[in-house]
Amino acid sequence: MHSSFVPAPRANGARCSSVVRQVARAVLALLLLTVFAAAQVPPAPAPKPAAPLELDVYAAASLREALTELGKTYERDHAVKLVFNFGSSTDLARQIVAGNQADLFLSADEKELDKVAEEKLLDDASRASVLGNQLVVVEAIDPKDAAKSFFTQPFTVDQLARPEVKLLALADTATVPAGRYAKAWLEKKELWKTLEARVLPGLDVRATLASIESGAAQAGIVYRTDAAVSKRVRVVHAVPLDEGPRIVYGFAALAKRPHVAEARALLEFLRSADARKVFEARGFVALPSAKPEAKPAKNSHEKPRGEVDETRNERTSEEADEPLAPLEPPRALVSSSLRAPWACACAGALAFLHRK
Amino acid sequence: MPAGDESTLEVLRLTLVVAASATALVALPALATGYLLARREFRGKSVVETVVALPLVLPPTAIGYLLLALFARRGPLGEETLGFDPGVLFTARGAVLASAVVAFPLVARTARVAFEGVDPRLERMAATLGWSRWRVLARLSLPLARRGLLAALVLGFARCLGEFGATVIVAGNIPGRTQTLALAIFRDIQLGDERGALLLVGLTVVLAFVCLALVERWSRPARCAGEEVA
Repeated sequence: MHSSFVPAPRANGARCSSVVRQVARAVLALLLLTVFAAAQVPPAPAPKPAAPLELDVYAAASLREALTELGKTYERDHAVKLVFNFGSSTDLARQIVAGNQADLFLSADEKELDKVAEEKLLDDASRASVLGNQLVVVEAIDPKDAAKSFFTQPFTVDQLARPEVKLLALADTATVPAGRYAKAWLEKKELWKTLEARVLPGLDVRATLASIESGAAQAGIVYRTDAAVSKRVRVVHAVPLDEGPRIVYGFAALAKRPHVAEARALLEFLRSADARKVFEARGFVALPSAKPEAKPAKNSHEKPRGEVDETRNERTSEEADEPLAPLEPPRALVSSSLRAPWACACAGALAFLHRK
Repeated sequence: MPAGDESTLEVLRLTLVVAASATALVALPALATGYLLARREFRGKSVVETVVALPLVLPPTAIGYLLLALFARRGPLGEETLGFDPGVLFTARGAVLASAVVAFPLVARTARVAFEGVDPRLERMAATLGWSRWRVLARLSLPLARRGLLAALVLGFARCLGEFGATVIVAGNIPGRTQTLALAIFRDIQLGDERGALLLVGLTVVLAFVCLALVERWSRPARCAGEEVA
């Protein structure tokens, strides 16, 4: 390697460290860029005239496709960006109670709305029962033999107890509405005790659907609307509406949030005739918008519900008396206070690397 | 629903931003802790050592739960106690915080080893030449430990890239807000989107490879010179 042993190590050392320093600088520059790029994204609402306002929509997993479609329509017509958080409604309710970062909560079970309402976080006036759904028993379609089935028609519930059905995929019966509904139905049919040990619980109803699609479970119970999304499962049996538990999706805006008026406007849109069509096309039952009148709104001069007009997305005079918080106050505050230590750390690291 | 290119890019961006922010947040305190543990003797040092190591040993879900309880609306650092919304839970800041807490012990411990690798006699010699404690630190200890410290930071960054357990509890799994690579993979698997998951796994492998290569490079000074010449 090196014939001269006295000066060489020093020369090598110097070269080595300069290369290292270059690499280090490059990496640090990249790191700094990411950090500052990140820091630039959320704030600066003042100069930009139409920085789209963001609404956080926490929604039941079963609403994924319908809401994604409706969200695109809504974003096109309004200066609003929708950020969706899909999951088990129970989980979402827990997240809202803990963190209160949602503007809208679209739950697959009214119970979860009650939990949020108990914490006084719900905009009670905006609450409405909007959609119905239905449970179905599904099994995976065998790609090699599409006719193969674990069940025989006409289907009877006790076929679920056949030994071929080793695992029955349900959404988690403790933490997901779809699982609670399915359990209620099986209990009514006096099959729960038999099947309990074979249940494969899913984190939300879509995880359950996926475990049936993949063949992990031989059969499962999901919503009709979930089965309609998948080409890889077949509906074996639709639970008659009068036989299963009543499945009602409740929608509501959250009260202690900076953009309640905009959230309500979005809610109006989701209850409009156009949105109903989209929901119905995906298999949901659009419930008649009767219930909200039963609950008297706090501000009585509110517009009647169900009446949708395009002006609602602007802040109308009657909404102006909502306790509207200034635009994003705490968020801006914390992010700027977060940036200070970053800047210190980065500056320190740079100074450190720049010294010889 | 397969993840489009746009959402994959968004996930990648968010992952890098969260990991970089968490590393930056943790850098100074962790390096300082590493230095203290390497160079100072003080009462209760073993307690500090244990506390520093704790997040390394605890399951990330336990850390997540503790942070959740701490920042929940009625928790000791929550909205109702503070009087304003700290905006930590279920936001990107929550993801940063969770990653930072999990990465802290890794950075601190690696930094400690790096500082311990500096010959203390050199520091004492410098002190006899009239250098102040800070000057010794800035002009001697830090430069000599530099590679180890960089390795510590990259290791922390890498840990943040893969952070899942604490993040999913503190920040949820919200696309465009808190969904980093690890969380996006989980969601794709849940939804049965195997292609999407595979794409994201590929991305994480690339990222991990880069990080590990850097760590390797910086944690082995002796071979560096030879490699450069060859």
